[in-house]
Amino acid sequence: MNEKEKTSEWKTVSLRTKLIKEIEEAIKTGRYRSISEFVSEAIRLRLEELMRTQGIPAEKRKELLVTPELLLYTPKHTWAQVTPEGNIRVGVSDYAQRHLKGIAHVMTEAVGKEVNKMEPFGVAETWMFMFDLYAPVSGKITKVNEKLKNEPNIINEDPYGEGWIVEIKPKNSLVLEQELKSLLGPREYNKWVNKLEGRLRE
Amino acid sequence: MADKDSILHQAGLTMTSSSNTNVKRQLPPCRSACPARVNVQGYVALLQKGKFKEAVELIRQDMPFPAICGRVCFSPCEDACARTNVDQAVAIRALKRIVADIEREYERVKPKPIPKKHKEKIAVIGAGPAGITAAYELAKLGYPVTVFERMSEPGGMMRYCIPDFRLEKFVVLNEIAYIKDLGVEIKTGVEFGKDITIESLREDGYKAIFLAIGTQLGMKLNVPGEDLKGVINAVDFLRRIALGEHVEVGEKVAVVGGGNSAIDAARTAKKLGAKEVMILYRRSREEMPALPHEVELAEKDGVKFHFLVAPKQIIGEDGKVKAIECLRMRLGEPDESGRRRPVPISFSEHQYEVDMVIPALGQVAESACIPKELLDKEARAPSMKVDPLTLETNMPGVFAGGDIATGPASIIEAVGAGKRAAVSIHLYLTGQDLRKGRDEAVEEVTWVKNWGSLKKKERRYEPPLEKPRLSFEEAAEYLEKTKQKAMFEAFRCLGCGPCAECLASLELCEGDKAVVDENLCVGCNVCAVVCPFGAVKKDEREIARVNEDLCKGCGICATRCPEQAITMKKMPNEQIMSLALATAEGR
Repeated sequence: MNEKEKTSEWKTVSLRTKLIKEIEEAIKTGRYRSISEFVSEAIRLRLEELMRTQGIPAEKRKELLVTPELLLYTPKHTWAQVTPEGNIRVGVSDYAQRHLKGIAHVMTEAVGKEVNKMEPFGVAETWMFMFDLYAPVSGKITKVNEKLKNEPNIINEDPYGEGWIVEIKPKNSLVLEQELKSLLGPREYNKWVNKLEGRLRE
Repeated sequence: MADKDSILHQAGLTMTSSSNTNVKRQLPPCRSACPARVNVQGYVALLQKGKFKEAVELIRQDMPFPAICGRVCFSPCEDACARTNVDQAVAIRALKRIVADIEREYERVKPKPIPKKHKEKIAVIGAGPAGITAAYELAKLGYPVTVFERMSEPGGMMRYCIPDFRLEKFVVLNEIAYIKDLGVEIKTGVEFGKDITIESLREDGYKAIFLAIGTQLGMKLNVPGEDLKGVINAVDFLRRIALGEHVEVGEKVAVVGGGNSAIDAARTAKKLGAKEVMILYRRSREEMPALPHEVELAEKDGVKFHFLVAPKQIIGEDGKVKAIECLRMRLGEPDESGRRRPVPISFSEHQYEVDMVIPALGQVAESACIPKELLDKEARAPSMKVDPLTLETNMPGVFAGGDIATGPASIIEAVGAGKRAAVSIHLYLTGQDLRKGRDEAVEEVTWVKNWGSLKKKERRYEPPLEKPRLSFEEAAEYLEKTKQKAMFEAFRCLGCGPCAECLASLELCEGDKAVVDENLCVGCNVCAVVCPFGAVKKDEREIARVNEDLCKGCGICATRCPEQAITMKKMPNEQIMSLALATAEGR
């Protein structure tokens, strides 16, 4: 296939403005170089996902791990997301959530406390265990999800949305950039989880 | 089984009368020692098979708080356990805790509300262990039940007086949430005697009322200086901390008393930053009503114990506590409680310098909460006159039980009272005799007698004192290991009761031995697979053979046989005994 034929197959894709903003945030962190790179990556992942889930019955598909795009992950199963204010929102992944079915408490450091990357910023307590929660970036805690106090279960229902845990204000943008680069992307994270569970799909 | 459907049987309150000739229906020591008659042998037997979920279900048939009792019960079952004759009791409490925790950790499904079969509304006053249990049992029978609670959250003393390091609040609230899901209504912030009375409840259409208001007031020391700043009763102290209030803790704290709340208060004070905490108890260590392992933990925390001392007065300075003056004691003749009475030694006054005194001498009921008609005028402390068997008061349709009737006791005793109240209320509402068939005397049996020949096996599972701090991937492995350990521990059970009452096949356990009809058997081997005792095997002709020495007559094979080739045959009592003995020796 030559260069000309390739371009003739290109199609235009329309994106919502909200999504574009989010992609621009992701570009800032250096994960994608352009919007088009993001789109082609998204389509490729979607196709991969379709191929993987085809033939898997609906209830089985539910068991598949959810690892949304646009988030970055630590090997300790916390995710990081850049908020519009430039802070980093932190929560636990779907994999971690599965171990937190009996969640009773989420305790975190108080607002204003400094945390370091890959050091615990809080504990998730179930009936039998205490799980340390590791900070994906260094900085100061600016917000704690108050909803979790009364209903820790929202972590199970929506680990990537309502169930966020804290927001961290990074020390400075240089350090942040470095730290975000060292985190795992969704695909790398998926691989890591599969490796942990000892059933490599790829 | 004749009494299979009876309410008494369902509540685990029959099978007690000595008139029952079938030894299979008598109780093992663990179950007969339990005030709530929890089927200990049954769930331990299920654990041996790794059936954790079924084990919780079986516990829930007898009482609604597996996780709470798994943490703080004083476990009379372990004291009674026949294994103590060989080495050490089976870790029954620990096993109960682990099944409840594992269920909560991974398997809990929200229960469906129980359909209401009856129209008669029932009111329960007080959402403590007695009240909640009664509501739970009545809801299981299909009654609409409403529980009224004065505090903002249900749980009673379990919620407000046991500190977090012994029983986490979320455990209590979660167990109660389960009961709410079954369809029990709990109304909090409603005070009995103020917002509602017996008359107002009757007007609202409640046909029966169960008073389980407990004992809320801490007893006074009755020594001079009790109104000084720095003297706070243990119940108030623990309750205020449970409510999240700030309580100023002194540097040197003296706790007076030897019960569990004394230990709780002392440990709480130590954890809140008191430099020195001492417990003053007027008898010696042996007479302490507190749980021995709690006493050990308190010592580990750095709490000091002074035995054979009783406070004479609290000395103050500028209205604040400065010291506590005590008298030495010696032990005299045993009193009506069986413990030796402390006698003061004259001129033995001595002082301890303290800035906080916590009396923990037990609790009494608030007399304002008790309706005048029900007040027992002869008793020293405010209490009610209650029939100990049926829990009836002198007002028809009004029942009372738990601490209010017995004086301060334990959770499991309150659970037992709640169950008895539920049975009484059901019999009352259906117009039956409240006393018939309810014999409190328990016929207890242990089949195993040859203690000397049994192999000694130490305990294999104890719950960790602190929660393990793990990573997510380690948790699954840890859980598997814990399950294994719990199963091993369950195997220490001698199975000394005739029947585990595992309720695997209630219809068939009337019979005592499986018999195979050779003409019907097709050799499918299902019976051999399901037999829990390994008693069934195929012979060379591909026909199932029952080993009579191993068959315990559970009837599981008969339920599973697709050809209905297995029937259960009656066996004389002597034969059952000798068979059980053989099984126990094999353990």
